[in-house]
Amino acid sequence: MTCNNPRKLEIERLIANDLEISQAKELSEHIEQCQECSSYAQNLQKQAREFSNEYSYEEFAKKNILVKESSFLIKIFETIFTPVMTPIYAALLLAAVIIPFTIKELEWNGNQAIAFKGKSQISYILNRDGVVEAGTPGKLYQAGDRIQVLYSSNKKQFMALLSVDKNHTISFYHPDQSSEYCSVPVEIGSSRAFPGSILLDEAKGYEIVVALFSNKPLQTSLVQDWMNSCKGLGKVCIERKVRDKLPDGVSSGSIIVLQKE
Amino acid sequence: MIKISRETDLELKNYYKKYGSLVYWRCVRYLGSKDDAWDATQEVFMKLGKSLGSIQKKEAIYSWLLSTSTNHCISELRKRRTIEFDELYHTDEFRPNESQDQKTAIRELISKLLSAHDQKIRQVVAYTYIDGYKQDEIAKLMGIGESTVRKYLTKFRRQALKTAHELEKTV
Repeated sequence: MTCNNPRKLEIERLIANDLEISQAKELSEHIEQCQECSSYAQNLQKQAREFSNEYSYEEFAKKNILVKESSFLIKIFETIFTPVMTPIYAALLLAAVIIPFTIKELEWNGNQAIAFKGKSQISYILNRDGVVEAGTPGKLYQAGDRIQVLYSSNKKQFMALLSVDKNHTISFYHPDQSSEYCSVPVEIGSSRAFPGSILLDEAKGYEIVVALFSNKPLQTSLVQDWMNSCKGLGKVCIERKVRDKLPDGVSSGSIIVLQKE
Repeated sequence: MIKISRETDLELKNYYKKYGSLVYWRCVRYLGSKDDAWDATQEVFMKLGKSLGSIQKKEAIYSWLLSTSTNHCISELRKRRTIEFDELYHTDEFRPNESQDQKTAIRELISKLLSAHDQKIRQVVAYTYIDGYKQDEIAKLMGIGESTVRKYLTKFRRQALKTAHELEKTV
């Protein structure tokens, strides 16, 4: 077969693997049957072999190309920010933004407690002159008020309950006042009553109730030393302590601030 | 020498391997010398290395190379005004009846005639008479209509005829 219309440009593209698969197939089939096109294609392939033997890219690059090395920072950037890592970084960014907003920091308004770290937390009931009511935000408390602390725990563990007033007088609420430990065992459940209640005294200002949850009983001296680091520094220090620096062995902490008349 | 990033170097290497031979051998056809063709090929690929970032469609790389190598070779020819024809790389299988001298004369005449026209006409003429591409191939390559290709060729032929008449008068 002789070709009346040899298409040199298309054959060149075929040799360079530039054609779509269907085009390449059609042209290859034609070339098989056409002497002139076949001859042209074979010549191109022969020329390609000659060229690559004589003029390699390495030879061209040695004379003409200077490759810019990326700076150290750019190399690190390129290593860290590969397309594969993008979903992971997106997830981390979302977590960094969303998580702080999802941690609810409850106001010190009475019946709500602030739980720092972990899931155990406390609430309370007020008994004033025989009248029992749930602790309410903004309520002012008086000497003689009895506070029953309720706790919620998702596992069997130990709970220490203490209070600190404006004068930094620390009171531990433990059935056995002679015990070297200030923690009592607690059961799984919600709104369970802590054994023992808090009786508010005449001291003015505030009473901060602190609950500490741990897997093992806590030594009273350990908790006392920990709390004494805030002596003279007020309730902000105590809040920060419970939030950021719990004693060794404590898995979670909660506080309630009772403002007195 | 050009300074390029590692990524561009890899890309350029890929295009060199794909198209280097095609560009080189057409430069041989235009310039008539292997050494000149190798110089031209290097120039063209260095320009490609500098331009890769700005070429939007990667499937248009071969068109870009054809256009750039054509312009470069014609520019070299205009500087030189003569063509040397080396028998070693005779490639014109589709016009087997012409002698070497005839082919040389044709190329010389084309080179002289091309200087009278703008870049687009020069490209169309070069693709037609030196590369032997078909009109529809040229149209697709240059992104113009086939009628425009024919119009450019007609304009070239008229000018060529006029030049030929003028040359006759001076002989």
